[in-house]
Parts: sequence; structure tokens; C-alpha cells
Amino acid sequence: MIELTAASSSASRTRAFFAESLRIDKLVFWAVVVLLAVAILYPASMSVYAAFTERGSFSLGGFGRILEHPSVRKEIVTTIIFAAGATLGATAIGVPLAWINARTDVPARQFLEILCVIPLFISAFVGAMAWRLLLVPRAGMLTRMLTDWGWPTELLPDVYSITSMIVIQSIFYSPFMYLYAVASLRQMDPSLEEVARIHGASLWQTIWRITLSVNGPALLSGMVLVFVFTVGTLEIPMALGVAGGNYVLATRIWTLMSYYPQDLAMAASLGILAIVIAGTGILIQQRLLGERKFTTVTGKGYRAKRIQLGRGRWVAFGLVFSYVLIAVIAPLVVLVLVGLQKYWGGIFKLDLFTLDNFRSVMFEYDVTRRAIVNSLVACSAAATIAVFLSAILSQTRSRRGESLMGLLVLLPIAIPGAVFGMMVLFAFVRTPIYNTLYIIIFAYVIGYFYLAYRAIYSVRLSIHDELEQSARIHGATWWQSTRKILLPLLKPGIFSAWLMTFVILVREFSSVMFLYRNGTEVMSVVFFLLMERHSARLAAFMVIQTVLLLIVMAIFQRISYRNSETITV
Amino acid sequence: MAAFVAVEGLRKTFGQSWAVDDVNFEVEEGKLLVLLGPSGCGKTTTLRCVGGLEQPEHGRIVIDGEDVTNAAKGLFLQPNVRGMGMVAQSYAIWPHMNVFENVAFPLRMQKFGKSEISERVREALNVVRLGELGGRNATDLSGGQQQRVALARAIVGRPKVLLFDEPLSNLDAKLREEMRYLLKDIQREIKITAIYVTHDQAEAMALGDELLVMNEGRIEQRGSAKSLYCEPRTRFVADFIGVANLLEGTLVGESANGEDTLEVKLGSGDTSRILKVLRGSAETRRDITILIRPEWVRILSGQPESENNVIRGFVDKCQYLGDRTEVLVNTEYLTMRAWIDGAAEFEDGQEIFMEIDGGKCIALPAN
Repeated sequence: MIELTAASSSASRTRAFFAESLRIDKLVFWAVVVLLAVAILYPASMSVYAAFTERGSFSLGGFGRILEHPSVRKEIVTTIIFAAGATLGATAIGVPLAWINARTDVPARQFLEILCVIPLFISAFVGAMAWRLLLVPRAGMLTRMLTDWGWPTELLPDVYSITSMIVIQSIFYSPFMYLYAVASLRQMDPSLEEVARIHGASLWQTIWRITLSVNGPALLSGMVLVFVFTVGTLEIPMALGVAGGNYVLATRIWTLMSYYPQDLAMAASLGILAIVIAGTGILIQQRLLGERKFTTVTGKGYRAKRIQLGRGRWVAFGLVFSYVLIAVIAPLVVLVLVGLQKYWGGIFKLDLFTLDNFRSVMFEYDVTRRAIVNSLVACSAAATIAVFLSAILSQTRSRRGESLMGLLVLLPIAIPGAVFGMMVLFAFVRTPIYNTLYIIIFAYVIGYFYLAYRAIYSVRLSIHDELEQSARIHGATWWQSTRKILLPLLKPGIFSAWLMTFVILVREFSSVMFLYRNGTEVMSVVFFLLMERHSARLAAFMVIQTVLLLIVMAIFQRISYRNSETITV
Repeated sequence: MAAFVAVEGLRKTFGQSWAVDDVNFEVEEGKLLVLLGPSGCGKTTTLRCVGGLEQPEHGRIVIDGEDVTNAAKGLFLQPNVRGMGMVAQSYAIWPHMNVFENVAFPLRMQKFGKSEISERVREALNVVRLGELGGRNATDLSGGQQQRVALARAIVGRPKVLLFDEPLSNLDAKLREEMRYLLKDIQREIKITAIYVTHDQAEAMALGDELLVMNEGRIEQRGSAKSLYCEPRTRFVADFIGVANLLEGTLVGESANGEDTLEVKLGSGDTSRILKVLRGSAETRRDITILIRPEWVRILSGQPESENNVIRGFVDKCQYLGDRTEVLVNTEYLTMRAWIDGAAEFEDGQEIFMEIDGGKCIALPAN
């Protein structure tokens, strides 16, 4: 009897020892970390390999041909001008909008707040095509209206110019700046501004010396994001740049990879160059940030008082509304009108009215039908995987694990989108998953993992450790406490992260352009395929995608609204 | 002396209700006025109206003989031209500037020369006993130090009026007391006119030359710390400042011999008692409320000699607090608190008699 209890207690001690040393949660965590690291580093190293290899041996030929190429040097300059211009433009648009919505008594604020982020859910490619339909010489809807009113033709904006590319890129990427700025402004203690006012600063001095400076770090983060995105985007450069003869690195890389004769080594070398440009942007940000990595001091006590603009509030309303008009309403209206015409002649004609375009892209035309299914399957699969992995990773409590994750998650952001698409192609070109939807799902998950991770991580931070720990103390295993305590609490966050990721993936264009093949086209790819062929069908298809995204966005808004309420209460 | 700051007929709405409802007061030059009240009483809004951070719907605010707000004339000066200094509840230290730059800001706004700025910043930092910290990053400082930086910034431009918006409420108790003395010293040293908002009555009583108790947007009572404590004019003030036992009774007589006292009957039938207390601000109507502070009670050992001003009760609880012992006593009328100096021991349920000090306890108007 005595022996028996001794034996069983030693057995349980052994079990406890193994459970402690194995720590299943850590095991799962590190497994996912390694998986992600491989998934990022393997494509990266494959494309570095491609840059230095030709016909199986080491070569610098790819770099050499950059120097010899008649136009690539100009394209590098164009890329930098395009990215820097769009960054400044997006800031100049996004930050004032954020300030107006977050800090002033502008009328119809809640309405405007929703409208200001809608461009985030409309693909910039869609926006660019819509503006092309509005502004194209002679046949553009707006061009025709303006010339009819006697506007001189030589003063019409050239939609294919670099300036137009920068402006339209700024308009459709300003929501990133807007979101960064709004979050930062909302967090800021309003008494930082009020004290400045009391101590002699005028409203403008306060905005310049206090508001913008205090929120500087957040704004710089947003700016660097827009910069890297723009270096790697194919959307505007494809929609407007190619037609206007303005190539950037992303379009050059894509051309080198897609058209005969291919030059893989040169494409890979240009990819490295694009990463260097993006990296320089990040470096400049870090340099500007310097010691100023302060967090915004959050205020307690007095509620944020909105700045009274007096009659100026209608000016503010006008500014925000004209942004919405340019970025949301005008593009959607023109697309709907074009989609409802037999063919497009620059103005809407009732006798050309037809629903055929919508019917054909949804039910008849096999490429578009296939693309809808492919997009839904690939994007929901990728969103599910990204969210699932994020939920596992957000569980860790180890500091080292968190900082490592921070790095792993940030790495793909620093790789411009088109370059990333190229890397994935290099990694899988000789494997069976090339030519399948899986390669697209892979690129989606790895390229946009940070979206899901950040969303879930921030929800995770708001859930106190004690909740989980007390479950463990009361006898729950790691899995039980995860399933019964953590997951139910994370659920709303998980759902909204899923929707957010899904939307961004559906509009993803720059990397998937490298990865589709006949049969695996997704919706954004089909935009490109239809671009020069059938503008009415293209418009109809763009309307369908936009409506789909807006529906998802509406659900997202509802959920995250409720969600944020429960979190703050 | 003429009023340096004058607020007349100030009214401000938030949504449907009046946050500040017809507030009038003056502050003399060099004095510190405390606005005291529970949260939501309108004290902070009043302060913000003086600073120009809120625009009132009605009323007039005069500083140093100049109208800064005059709703009737549509006059509203922006905060930056009012010549004020302010210490906010959250310190509001700008995180992107070091200590020196934070303090120098008001001078830079007034376009002072470089040498004068550094001279005056050093002076201000010395006043708040932070002399050597100018080069430090402001956000690396402790809460108490940040608060001193905020104070230095508020006084460096030699403002006409200094505004304090609950400046000590984010500090822990010990530091708060220390800062209270420092604030008092500094305010005396530089003889500045100040308005100070707080909900902490101890802070208010320690700092204020004069106190203004506010409730629901209105001024309840104005006076020195002592007069508010000993001679409150309303139930609210009696209850808000210090600990109060408030007993309801009926008027049975007024003193005939010229003393300003009232005779008030508590309870009815067998358990009724007559208390003789100061008249105070009570109207001589039937219903009277009596204020009995816990230290205005003496617990008798044994049976009382007379029934005058004596209340019978049973000990409910008894707790030793170091400098005093607090006894909760169940009486016929309500559970009362009584304080006894030093340590004292009672058994729970023990019958005791409390003699109340008729020269201190005071009648108030009943609700």
C-alpha cells in the first residue's frame, strides 16, 4: 500500500516534469515562428540567388544590364519621385482630414469618418481606372464636360503624367496616413494643446509646434508605410504609367519577368535595388525619429474638447467632402455609368443602356466567373490561415518571442509588393504548387500576415494576463484555458481581423500579378486583363468587386464598432 | 482692494443642462482662490472659461480691468492673448521637448531674446527646485518632477493669473502633501493671483486664501476654510467639507437671553431630546437640520447628570486610527460618528452617552 502511493506519486512527478519542460504552448509558438521565418527567408534567398546567378553559375550580369539599359536609370529616378511624391501627397491629404475629423466640431462627423476610410477598401487600380475614364483625352467624362464649358484643352490635366500618378496614388493611399493620424490624435492628451494656447501660442502655432510634433512618430510610421507600398505598387504604374510611358521599377521588373525575352537576373537585381530604396526610406524615418521614440502621453480626466471652428466648420466639411467626392463618389459613379452602357463614348446615353455587362461578367464570361470564385477561395483561405497563426502567436508572453515576432512580421512590410511577388515566384517556380492557387494563397498569407497579427495582437494586449492565469490556477490546462477563456474573449477581434485581411487581399494586385496563370486568375488580375479590351465590362466587374468589398467593410464597421466599445468599457 | 479677476453672471451649457449656472466671484490681486466641489459641479468649466478654453453663453470676465469675455457684447479673447499660466491635471508636458524647452515655450511665444529666455527659465526652474534638470528629457521625469516642470512653465512668463486644474490629483498621497506646501510657498513668494480647482477638501483648505464651494453649476458658499467647516450655510457644504453627522429635528424655541441659539427637538415621544445649538443660517421654521462634527462630541463615562445636549446610543463599531479613535454609534435618530483623541476601547453594543458641544454644533436649513 505504501509502496503503491510512492510509485504513483513519483509517476505523477515525472509527468509534471515533462509537461513543464515541454511546455506545449512554447512548442507551438516556436514551431509557428520557424515556419514563418522559413516562409519569408526562403523566397528572399532564392531571389538573391537569382540576382547573382546566370545559367547556373555566379554572375553580375543582371546588375550589368541595369547600367546598360537605355531607360532603367530614368525609371529608378521616376520610382523615387513617385514614391516620395505620393508619401508627401498622402500625408498632405490624410493628416488634415484626420485632424478635422478627430479634433474639430466639423458637422456630420461620424458620417465623414466612415467615408474617409472607404478608399482603403477600393483598389487603387479601380480608382486609377475610374479616373482614367473621367480624364482620358477627348473621351473622358470630365474632359468632355470641361471642354463643353469652354475649358481650354491645353489646361486639361494629363491623366498619364507622373504628376497624375502621384496625385492619384496620394488620394488612394492617404487613408493609411489618415488612420495613423486619427489613432494618434485621438490618443493625444488634449491638454497638451490647451496648455500651449494658454501660454501664448495661436491656433496655428499650436498645430505646428505641438500637435504635429507630438504626433510626429506616428505620422512618420504612416509615411514610411506609404513610401514602401508605393515603391512596390503595380496598381497606378500599370493603370496609368505604362500607357503614358512612365515606367517605374515595379513595372520594369514585371515586364522583365512576364514578356519574352525574360531577364530573370536583371529582374532580381532590380528587386534588390527596390528593397534598397524602400530601406532608405525606413532609414530616413529612423534617423528623423532618433531619440524621439516617445509614446504619446495619454490624458485622463477632462474629455477631449473639440476645437470650435465657428463658420470655418463648413469649410472643413467642404474639404473632407471634396476628398470623398474625388476618392469615392466620382470613381464609383463613373464606373456604374460605364458599366451600364453598350459601349462608352465619354457620356452616358440612355439608348445605350444595358445590363449585359453585369450579366456577362457574372454568369457568362468564364475568366471573370472563375476569378470571382478564385478570389473568394484564395482570400478566405489566406485570411483564415493568417488569423489562425496570429491567434497562436499572440498568445506568447515571452519578451524575446514578442520582439522576434515583431521583426518577422515587419520584414515583409519592408519588401515592396511587386518584389515580394517576384520572390515567391522564384521560390516556387520549379515546384508543383506553381500554376496553382496555393502559390497565391502563400503569397497572401506571408505578405499580409502583419495585418492579421497586429489586429489580433492589439486585442490580445487588452485582455489581462490574470484572466488566463486564474484559469490555469484553477486547474485548466494550457489548451483548456486557451479554448475556454482566451478564444472567446478574442473572438470579436479575430472576426474583425479576418474581415480586414480578407478585404485587403481581395484588392491585392502587385504581388499576385506575378503569380497567376491561366486558370488561377483572381479578380484584380482580371482588371488588368480586361483593361485594354473592354472598358464597359471592366467597369461592371470593378463595380462588382467594389460592392463586395463595401459589404464586407460594412460588416467590419459594425463589428469593430461594437468591439471597441466593449473593450473600452 | 479692487478685484483683479472678476467673473459676473457666468453661464455655460453642455448639451441640455447648465454646467455653470450664474457664477459670480472676484479674486484680489496676489490671492489664491480655490474652486472646490465634487466632479461635475462646474468648477473646471468655470476655470476653463476664465482661461478662454471654453466660451460661455452668458456673463462677463474681467482680468486686470480688461474684459476678456463679454458675452453680451460678443467679446471673446483667445486664450493666447489673455496672459495666463496654467497647470493641467495631466501635467501636459510636451514629450517632444526637453525640460528647458518646455519651460521656455511661453517666452518663445512672447518673442523674448535668447539670453533672457535662458535666464528666466533658469530662474523658474530654481523656483520650483528643479534647478539642474533643464537638459533632461521631460518624459523621463517622475510625476512630481513633471508637475514642477508644468509649474515652472506656468510661472515663467509672469502671467497675470495662474490657473490650476486639479494639479495634484495624479500624485500619490505623500507627494501630494509635499507639493501642497511647495505650491503655497511659491504662490506667496511670487505673489501671483491664482485660481485653483480641486475636489480635495484638505488640499483646498490648506492652500486657499478663500474657498468657493460649488455644486451643480452654482456657488454654494464662499469663505475661509474655517468658516466653511464651522459655519456651513447649507447641508451640501456641511456634508462635503469634513465629516458630518446631520440630524433632523423640529424647532421648539429660541434663546431668550440674547444668545444666538436655537432649541431643537429630536425624535418624538419617549426618545425625544432637546438640543441647544448655534443658530447659524437656519431659518426659524419648524424643520431644522443640525450639524454635529465627530470631534464636537464627548463620550461620557457613566450616566449623564442632565439630559441637556446628551444623546444616548450603542456602540456599533470602533476603530483605532492612530491619532484618534472613531466610534460608530447607533442612536434613535441615525448612526453617528464620534472621534476621541488617542486610543479608547468600547465593547460592541455597549450603551454610551454622548454630550454634544452646543457652542459648536450648528443649525442648518432643512431640505
